[in-house]
Amino acid sequence: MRARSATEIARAVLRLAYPDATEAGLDAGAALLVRWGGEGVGYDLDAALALLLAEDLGEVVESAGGIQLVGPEIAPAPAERRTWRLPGRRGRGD
Amino acid sequence: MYGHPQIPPLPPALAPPATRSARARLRRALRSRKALSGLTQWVIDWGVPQVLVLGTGYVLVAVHRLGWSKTYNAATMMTPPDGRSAWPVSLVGWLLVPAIIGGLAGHVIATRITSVKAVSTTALFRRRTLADRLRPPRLITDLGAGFPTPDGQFLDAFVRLAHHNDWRTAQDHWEIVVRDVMCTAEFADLDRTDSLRLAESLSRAQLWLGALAGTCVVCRRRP
Repeated sequence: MRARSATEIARAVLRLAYPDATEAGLDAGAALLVRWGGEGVGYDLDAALALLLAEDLGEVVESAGGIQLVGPEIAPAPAERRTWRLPGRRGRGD
Repeated sequence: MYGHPQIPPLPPALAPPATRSARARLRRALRSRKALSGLTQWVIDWGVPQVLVLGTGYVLVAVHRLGWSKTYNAATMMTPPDGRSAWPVSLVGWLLVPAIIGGLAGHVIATRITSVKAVSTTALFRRRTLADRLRPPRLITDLGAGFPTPDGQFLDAFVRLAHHNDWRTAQDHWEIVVRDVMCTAEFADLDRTDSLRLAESLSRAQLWLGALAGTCVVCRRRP
């Protein structure tokens, strides 16, 4: 799983999490994930925020089904708790 | 969407971490060296073994064959090699040692020249103090050290949901992802502290996504 670019690793992760994602969506999602991770977002994530992150990335990668969750039922964190900036949208962490 | 049936069933609760073996500790230390600069990694991987081999050979020749004075003279080209045992010492002394030291010095100087105006985005506007420069690098986080807090939710997802309470495999896969992220272009050139910290941040974000679905990207790649 060695890659010279972190986006390739992120792309592999997104492809696994969102099997129905589009190729263009994976490219965009991987770039965003690397950017957010490089800004330290990973340290802020709890289960609810991680679910919110998964929902945001699901939209970016153009996945219709989203992540098929296992484990206890959890609700995503409210949008105002988002610690990452979602480009191209308003009112959701912009 | 929630409560997806699993075979085997998910453990009901996160188990306490397993005892870490000496081998696992050494493996974590070796993987953590990817946060260091390329030069430092080369010194650890190749420089130290070369010094040990050459130093041992030098001492053996001096003690059993030539004596200290003749060995030194042959190695530093002060006298022509006298005898079969002196030739390897002479060759190493004038060929190998200067090549290695010259290569290292050239790399250091070239790196300083090329990076004189390159500042990573995480270092912008910050002052890197002497304490920052001297602080020893830390190791990749030991997931078991965060049990049960403060990382409880991440551990519950990554260890329990994705690895069915197999702490050893979870720690192994966590280290693999962090190490591979540190090897990428985006993180390789960062300061050793930032490289590890931000690589762990990205790794956590990535592994969260898989853990929510009960999977791990390394498990998929290494079935």
